Amino acid sequence: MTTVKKIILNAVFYILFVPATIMAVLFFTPWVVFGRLFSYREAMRRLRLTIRWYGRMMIWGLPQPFLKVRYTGKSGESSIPRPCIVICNHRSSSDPFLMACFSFEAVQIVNIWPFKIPLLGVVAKLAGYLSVNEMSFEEFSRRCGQLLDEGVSIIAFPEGTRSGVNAMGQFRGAMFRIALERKLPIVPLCISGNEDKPIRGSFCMNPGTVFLHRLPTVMYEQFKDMTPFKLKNYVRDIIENETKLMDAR
Amino acid sequence: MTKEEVISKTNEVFEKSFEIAPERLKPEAHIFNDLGLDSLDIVDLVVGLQQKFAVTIRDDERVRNIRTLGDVYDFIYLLGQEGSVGGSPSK
Repeated sequence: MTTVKKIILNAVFYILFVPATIMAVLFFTPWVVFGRLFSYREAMRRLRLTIRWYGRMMIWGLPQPFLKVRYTGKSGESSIPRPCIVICNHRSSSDPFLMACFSFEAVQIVNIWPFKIPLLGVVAKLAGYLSVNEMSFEEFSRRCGQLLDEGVSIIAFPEGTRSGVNAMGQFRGAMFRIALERKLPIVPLCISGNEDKPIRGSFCMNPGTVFLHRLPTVMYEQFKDMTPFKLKNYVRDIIENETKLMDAR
Repeated sequence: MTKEEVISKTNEVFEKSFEIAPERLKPEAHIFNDLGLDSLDIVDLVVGLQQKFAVTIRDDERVRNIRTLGDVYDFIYLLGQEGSVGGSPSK
């Protein structure tokens, strides 16, 4: 039965993926371009909103009913001070799409490979997504500062690469240094159940449920005396502890 | 400076700068994978070691080959043998 579900899930998803993407481009491009008549900032806001809607279609639309996503912690999202820095564990290539769960404007820190995806990579770059591996920390910090000054939050996967398994990798500290420098709140987001959706090195998704759980925001006052090294491990520990509980359920 | 002194002072840098528990400071511990440092932390580590041993190691090409804590001990000890360690190191 699972094999049948898997075949239907992947067949439906990949048959609809290309036409859905083309339709999204045709439908949203004029709206985004029209926003440029008001201001560059408005056009960027519309582009990032488009990405969020597109992500929701890819996660909450196309794979239904065989791949479900449950997001807990959404109810208190309006109380998160913004801009903020969202920190997530990273198991699968579907993670960037899952970030559509948030209702606020944000860009993601990605590795180099997502920029190489046809069309999506170009759109991500246009929207201000950053690759920490393509620039010095000083340049990265400057670009993040510009976004944060505009009120845009930043979503990061500080493991740097997909783990593909339940175990978490070590965190890199760039975003934690920026959180300390700019006194920004950190929002930990735990992702569980996505390690095989799809499996690393494959496009084949498995049916099941992905769980997203947003933990309480870590405010600057809580970590202002920490070093960047201590802060990244502090956040890593709370995400790791929660994901272990989520995996055990 | 003896190897034991190098180990002790190097461990002090890791404990003070990164608050890493002494029991984790083993020669075979990989600086990135086991101790969790990243490239930016290495800058802090170099600064800490420079202050502790009163040396200039930032531009030393051999730093790039360091992978484990044991490599750090060996590198600092080698600097001592070369006479590069000196001045008034911080306590």
